[in-house]
Amino acid sequence: MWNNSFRDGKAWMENFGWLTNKGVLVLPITKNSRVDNSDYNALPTRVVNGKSFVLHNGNWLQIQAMIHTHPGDPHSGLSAGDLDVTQIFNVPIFALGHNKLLVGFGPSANPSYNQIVTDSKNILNGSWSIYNHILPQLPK
Amino acid sequence: MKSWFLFLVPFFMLGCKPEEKENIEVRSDFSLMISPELGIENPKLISVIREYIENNTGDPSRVYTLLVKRENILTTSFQLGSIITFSQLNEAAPIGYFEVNNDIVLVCTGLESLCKRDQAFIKELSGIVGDRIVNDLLPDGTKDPNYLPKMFDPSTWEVKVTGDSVVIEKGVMNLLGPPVVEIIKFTPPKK
Repeated sequence: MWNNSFRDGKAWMENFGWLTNKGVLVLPITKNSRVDNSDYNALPTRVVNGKSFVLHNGNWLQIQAMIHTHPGDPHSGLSAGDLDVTQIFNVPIFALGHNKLLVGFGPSANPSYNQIVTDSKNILNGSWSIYNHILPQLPK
Repeated sequence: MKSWFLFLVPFFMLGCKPEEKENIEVRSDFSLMISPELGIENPKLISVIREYIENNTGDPSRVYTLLVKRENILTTSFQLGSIITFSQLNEAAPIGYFEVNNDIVLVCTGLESLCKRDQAFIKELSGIVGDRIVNDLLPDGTKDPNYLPKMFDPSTWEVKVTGDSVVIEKGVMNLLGPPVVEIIKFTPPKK
C-alpha cells in the first residue's frame, strides 16, 4: 500500500485497506481516490448490530479496522473526515504516514483516541504487526 | 481599513442576491475583478500558488481555496487549501476565482458564508467547478446527511505577505492538528 502511494518518487494516491478477520483487503484505486482522499466504497459494506462487514468474493468478512496511507504531507495527522468514518463502521482507523503510524476512533468533535502508535518504519520493516501487537491493545 | 470594507460589502451583497450574477465570472488570468488591495496579483504569491498546486499531484484538475485575511495595513495572510465538497465552503463562500492551467482557485474572505437560500449562487458556482467537487448541500444550504463523510485530508499552506516579504508555512495539516489524546500506551513487541 505504501509503495503504491507513490509514482516516480512523488506522492500519488492514498491507498485504503480493510483489516478483516480473514486478513487485509486492499481496495483498488478508484476515480474518487486522490493523494489526499481515500475512497472506501469500492466494495459493498454493511453494518449489523454494530459490527461491520465487507463483501468479497461472495463472503461477508468482518471488519476489524481500516488502514490508509498518507503519502502527501509528512506532518499529517488524522483528519476530521478520517475520524468521522470510524463512526460509520464502528472500527478504528489507521493512517500510515511518512514518519508515524496513527490510530484513531470516535467523532472528530470528540474522539475517543487519536494517537501515534509507532514509527512507520516499524510497520514497514515488519517489526510491529497491527494484528498481533496493536489491535489487541486498542480499547474495546 | 475603511476601503477594505467598502470593497467587501458589494461582494457580500452580490453573493446573497441571486438576481445579481456578476459576483463570479470566468477569469483565465490574474487580472481579477477583485480589489488589488487583496494582494493576489503579487507575483511571489502567484508562484507560491503554482508551487502548492504542483505539490498536489494525482488529479488532472482540482479546486482550491485561497482564504484571504487582512492582518493589518501592511500584512495580508493567505491560506491555500483544496476542497472536494461544497459544504467545505459553508464558512467561507467564494467572492471570485481564477484559473491556473486546468485548476480553479476560489478566492474567499471568510466573512460571508455560502448563502443558504441562494440556489442561484450555488448553481453558478456548480457551473464553474463542474464535477470537480461534490454538491453535498440540501436546498436550504445545510449539509445533506446522506453524503457519507469522506476521508479527506486537506493540507494547507499559510502565506504571509508583507510588502516584498513572503513567508510560507507548509504542511499545516488537517483540522485536528497532531494527535494529542494520550490514552493508549502501546507496548512494543518482544524481540
